Amino acid sequence: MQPPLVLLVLLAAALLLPGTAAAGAARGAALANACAACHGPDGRSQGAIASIDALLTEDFVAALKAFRVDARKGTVMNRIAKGLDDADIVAVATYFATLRRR
Amino acid sequence: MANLKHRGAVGRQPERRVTELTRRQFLALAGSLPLTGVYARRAWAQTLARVVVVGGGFGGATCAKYIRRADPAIEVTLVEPRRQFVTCPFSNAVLAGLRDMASLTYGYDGLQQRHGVRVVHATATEIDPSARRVTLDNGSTLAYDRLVLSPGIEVRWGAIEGYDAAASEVFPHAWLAGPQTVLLRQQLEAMADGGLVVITAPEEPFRCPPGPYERASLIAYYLKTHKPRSKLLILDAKDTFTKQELFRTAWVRLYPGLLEWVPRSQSGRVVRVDIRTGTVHTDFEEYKPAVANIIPPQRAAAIARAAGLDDGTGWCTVRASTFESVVHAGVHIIGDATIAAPMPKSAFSANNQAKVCAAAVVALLRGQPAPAPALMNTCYSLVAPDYGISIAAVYQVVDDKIAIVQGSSGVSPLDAPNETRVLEAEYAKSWYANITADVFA
Repeated sequence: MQPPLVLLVLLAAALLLPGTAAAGAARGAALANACAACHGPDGRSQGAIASIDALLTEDFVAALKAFRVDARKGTVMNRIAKGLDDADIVAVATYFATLRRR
Repeated sequence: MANLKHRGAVGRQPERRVTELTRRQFLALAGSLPLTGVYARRAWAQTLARVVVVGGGFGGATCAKYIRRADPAIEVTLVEPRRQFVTCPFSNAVLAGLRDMASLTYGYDGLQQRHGVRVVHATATEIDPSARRVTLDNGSTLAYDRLVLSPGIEVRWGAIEGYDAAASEVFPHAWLAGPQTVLLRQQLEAMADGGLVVITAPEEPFRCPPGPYERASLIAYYLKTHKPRSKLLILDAKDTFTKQELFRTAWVRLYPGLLEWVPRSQSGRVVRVDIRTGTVHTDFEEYKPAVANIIPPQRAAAIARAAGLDDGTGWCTVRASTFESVVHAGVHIIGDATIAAPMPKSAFSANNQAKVCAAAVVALLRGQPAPAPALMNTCYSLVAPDYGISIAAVYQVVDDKIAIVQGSSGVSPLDAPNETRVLEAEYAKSWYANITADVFA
């Protein structure tokens, strides 16, 4: 007898979820590593460029989204943010938050 | 048996081990890797995974460090002949008398002591891709599971008639930083007021597309400040260059009557130099400058062209997601030696590609697919010490090729106010401090 559709969907979601979480973590790490070139290793900056290692996750996400639609004035970040989708932005913000939990 | 896992951890503090474990746990989640780690091992020996990285610049040093950060159980050997590295970025500031050579110079202690990279000061001379061995000029060989080459560029001597290694002691290129930078600076200092400085720019592809124009700008700043009757000519083999409108607009404002750009179509292309007579020849003109900086045609450094890795073209083609050579499996190539267009040949690109490559190498050693790469570039140029401009882009991999993400690329606005130029100049200095920490600290 075939399991109810609801159960199949839930099973599929359960199997997908760890994979999705893992993919997000890897993506967050990859983006954060790219950010380090300007913002410093682990997001700790020397000089005029902002540090990004101590932002609240929601502030991090809001800032990148604001740069992306030019609601916030920047120099380079308006261009860079346009190369990131919503999943990227959440992933990198989450990764920096994870670094702080050492 | 000794606990080989901590071989690289000599001198580290206990808290750092906890940090590594936490990060490794995080990456285990990311890579679905059991905490014990699984690497391809030879049946007859308890060999840990070994990676050899050739070249200790912005690409190689970064890659070595980031592999160790991802997994300290991987043994990483960095092969670099120089005991100290002098950066090309900001060497133009040294030429203008704004910085000293010490400020450009970095050692390998951080990589060795903080990250457990084994550094070998020798030159790689041969690669055997099937045996997975690299031969060094000190007679030894290094076995590898994966090899990363980041050797940078070499000058194509003779591509400009008369421009050989001896000629570069009279007309420096200073396109590899170090003694050449010092030589060119000394020549500028020795030049009398009213002298002619010539900078020649080659056709693409070459290392650092905006470099010749930043160099011209900062030398013009030096001349305007100290030798104002002097003249500077850029003799270009091209008719256009990167950030052209931004540079030219700034030059009109900052260096009128001092700096002139001569494009190819107006006989700007240098075809011959004669160091006996001190003459620089273009298609239809000749100049006898007091100082000549020849930025010559280039190609990937020799080791990147070994074993056919460049297919005879002078530059290496790689797979976009992993930077693995399309010619030999197990060999990755990053930085200026690669064809990674539309990513420019820049220190930023090399550092960025190094991190993508590191993640790919670690995944491949675990028998896993490489993660999606986060590729981007940002290049700052100083037109004057307080006048900065930038170009930036984010890239993605489409059909195993690198492509710009639509809308994410661009340069500083042409009509930006002075405050923006000042801010971007400050950001340029901050970028330099941060990237050198990212590479060497």
